[in-house]
Amino acid sequence: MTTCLGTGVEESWRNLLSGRSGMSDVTSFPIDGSKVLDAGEAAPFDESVSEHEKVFDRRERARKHLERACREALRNAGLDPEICPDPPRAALVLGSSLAASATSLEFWNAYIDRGPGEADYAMLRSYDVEPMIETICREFDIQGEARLVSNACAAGASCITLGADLLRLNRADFVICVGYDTLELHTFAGFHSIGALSKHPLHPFSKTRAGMKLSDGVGVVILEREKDARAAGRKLLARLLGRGESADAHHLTQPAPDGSGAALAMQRALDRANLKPYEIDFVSLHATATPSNDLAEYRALRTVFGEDTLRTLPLHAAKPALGHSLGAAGAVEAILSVLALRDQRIPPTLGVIDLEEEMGELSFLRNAEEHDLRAVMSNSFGFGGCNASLIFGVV
Amino acid sequence: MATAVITGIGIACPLGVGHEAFWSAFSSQCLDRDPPNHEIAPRSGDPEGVPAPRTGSVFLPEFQAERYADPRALRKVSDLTRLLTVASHLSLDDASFPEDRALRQETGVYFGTCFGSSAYHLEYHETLRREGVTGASALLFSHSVFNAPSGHVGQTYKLRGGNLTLVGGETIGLDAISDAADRVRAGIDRAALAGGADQYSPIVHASLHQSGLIGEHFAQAFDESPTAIAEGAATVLLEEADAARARHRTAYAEVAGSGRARAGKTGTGESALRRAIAAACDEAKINPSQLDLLICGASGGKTAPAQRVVLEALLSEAPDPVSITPKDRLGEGFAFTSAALLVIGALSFRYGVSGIGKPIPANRSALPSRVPSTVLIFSLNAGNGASAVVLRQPGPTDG
Repeated sequence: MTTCLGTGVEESWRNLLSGRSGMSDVTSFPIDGSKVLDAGEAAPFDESVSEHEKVFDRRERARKHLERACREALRNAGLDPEICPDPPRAALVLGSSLAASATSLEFWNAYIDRGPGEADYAMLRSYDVEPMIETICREFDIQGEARLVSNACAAGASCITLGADLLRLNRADFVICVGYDTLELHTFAGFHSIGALSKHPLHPFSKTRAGMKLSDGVGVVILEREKDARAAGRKLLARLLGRGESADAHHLTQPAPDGSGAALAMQRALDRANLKPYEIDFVSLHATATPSNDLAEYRALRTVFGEDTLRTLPLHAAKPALGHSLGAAGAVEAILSVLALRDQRIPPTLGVIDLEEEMGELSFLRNAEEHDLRAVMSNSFGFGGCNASLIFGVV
Repeated sequence: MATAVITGIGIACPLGVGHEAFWSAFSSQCLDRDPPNHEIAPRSGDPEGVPAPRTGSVFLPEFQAERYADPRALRKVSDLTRLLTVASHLSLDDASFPEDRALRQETGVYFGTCFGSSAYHLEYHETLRREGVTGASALLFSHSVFNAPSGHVGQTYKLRGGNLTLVGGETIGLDAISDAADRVRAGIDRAALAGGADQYSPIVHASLHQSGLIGEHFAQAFDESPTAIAEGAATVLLEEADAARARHRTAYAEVAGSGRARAGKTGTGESALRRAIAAACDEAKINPSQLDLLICGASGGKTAPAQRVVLEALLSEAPDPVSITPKDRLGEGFAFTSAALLVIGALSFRYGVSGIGKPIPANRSALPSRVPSTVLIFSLNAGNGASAVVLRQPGPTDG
C-alpha cells in the first residue's frame, strides 16, 4: 500500500492510528487560481527521479508505485516478491478511475504551442492500459486472467469483488487485486470544476462539510481460497465473507438522496456473508465529506442498520487523513478494515465536528481504540452511481 | 451453476443498426473479394491538421441515435454514451425485457471500452491545458469518466445490479460479456446487459496510427499491416436459461465457456491464446474437434501471426469447421469489434454461416450452408492478452 501517510502498509497504518493527516500543499502540478491548495501527495517514489519524470511522466510514477506495492504484498504473503506462484493460475485485477486517461502534458504542450500537425501523437499513448497490464504481468509472470475495472471511486472495491469471482469460478487460484490512482491535474481540475473539493480540512458527516481532498493511493490485496492458503502455509489476515454491488440508477455525479443504491450494495454483502446487520462490528465509510454523499450514505446506513444500532456502531472515515484516492480508495480502505481486524483496533476519524442534524448520534472515535472486532464492512461509492460493499471477518 | 443465455442483441455501427440490418450488410460485404475502402469524411468540429489516416469505418456524428432510443436519454451525453444507449435499448427491446422493477433491480451492466468518451476527454484536456485549473469544464469532465456510459445506461433503464466498466485492449468487449455471463451463472445478477463500444476521434486515431496499432487502409486478417479503424457499439442481454424459458424467450445462444490468459514473463501471445481456448473448451465440456465455427479476431499487424498459427491448428483438429475473420470487414473497433465477434457468433445460430466469410485457408471450398452447433470466438490483444468464448446452440431447455 502507498498513501500520503506512508509508503508501505505499516507506515500508513501507524500514522493513521496516531491521528496524523497526510494533506500538504500540492507540488506535483500547477494549480494557479485554485482556491484549494492542498492534497494528499505520496512521497516521491525515488528521490533520484528526474524532474521530468516527476511532473510529466506520471504514468511511469503510477506504475512504479504499483509494482512496489505488489512486491510488498507478495512479501507479506511470505512469497518471492518477484514472481507469483503457479503463473498460469495467477490473475491480476486492477481498479482505477483514471485507467488509460491520457495525461501527457508534453503532447499537449506541443499540440497547442506548435499546432496539431507538429505534435508527436505516439506520446499521447492513448492505448495505455494494455502495455501497463502487460508490463505488470511480465514483471510478476502472471499468465492467467488480467483486467482493469474503471467504475470511478468504487473501482478499488470492485477489483476485489472481481478477484473473488475468479476464485469462486475456479478461473484462478491466486489473485492480485490492485486499486490505484495517482494525483493528477486532470482529476484535480475536474473535481474542482464541479465544486467537490474543499479548501478547508475535511469534516465528514458534519454540518460544515464542504467537500473533499484528492490524494495518491495504491492498495494491493492478495486473494486465495482459504483451504489453498492454509495448505501453502500462508499467514491469513482476514476472510472475505461477503460482497455486494449495485447501481443507484439516479444521476451521473450525485448519489440517490435516499441512499437506496448504497443500501442495496450493503444488504447484498450481508446476504452473501449470511450475516445480520447487528453482527457487523465496524464500518469503514466512503465519507467524502461532500454535502450530498455523506447524507445519502447516512440514510443508506440507517436503512440497513437501523437508527438504534447505528448510534453505537463504530464508524471510521479515512479520507480526512488519507484524502480521496479515487480508484484506489476502495482497496486502501479495505486494507484498513483488514488491519483493524488484525490489530483489533479502530483508527480515529479526523474532522468530525457537529454532526448533521438528521444523523443524530454516531460513533466516531477521536483516538484509536481497541475493540472486539469479528466482522467489518467497507463501503465505496462512485460516479455513475456505482456502489460496492465488502465484508471481512476474522480468521 | 446456472446456464447463461443470450436473449437480446443490439448493435449500432456503420454497417447497420439493429442485428438484422447489421447481419444483412455484414454477410453481403463478406461476398466481396476485396476489403472495404471507407473514407472518413471531414467532420465539423474535428481539429485541423491532425495527421490521422483518412480510411475507417465511422458514422458519428451523423448517426441519428434519436431514431432508435428515447431522445430524452440521449441529451447532453457523449457520443460513446449515445452509442451504448442505442445498443442497450435494442438489446432490451429485442429480448422483450420486462419493466419488472424487481428483475431490473438485479440486472447488471458490464461494458468494455478501450478509449472511453475520447472526444470529450481530449477536449477536456485541451481546455485544461489552455485555461488552467479554473477553466476546466465540469460537463466535459463528468461525461468523460470511463464509466459514464454504463452509469447512464443503468440510470436510463433502471438497472441496479452490478455496474462495471472494463478498460483494456482489443478483447475488452468480449471480456465484458464473459464476465457478465459469469455473474449470471453464479447468481450474482439475474440478468446482465453487456458489451463493448469505442468511438472514433482524430487525435486517438493519429496516436494509434503512429504507435503502429492501426493502418492506413483496411487490411486482411493476417496481413503484416494492421487494418483501419472502426467505431460502434455491440451489446447482448444475458439471462439465466430457466428464467428466459419462463418468459417464453428463444435464446440466441448459450455462453458455454470462456477463458482468458496472458503471456506473462515466460509465455507468448500464442501460448496465451492456446490456454485461453483450452480453458473455454474445458468449461464448455467440449473437445476442440467439436467446434464447427471459428471466429478469429485477427486484424492484421503484430498480433496476427499468433492468431493465424492457432487458427490453423484448430482447423487441423476439427473435421469440417468454418472459420471467419470478421475484422477484415468491420475494421478494428477495439471494444466494439470484440463484442461484435460474439454477436456474429450468436447470430450464426439463427442465420447460418453461409456467405459470412471467406474460407481460410483460401483454397478450401465454398462455405457449407448450415447452422453451427458450437462456435468459438477468440482474439489476442497487443498486450498479449488472449480471450476466448464458446457459444453453444441453445438446447430445447434454454429458452
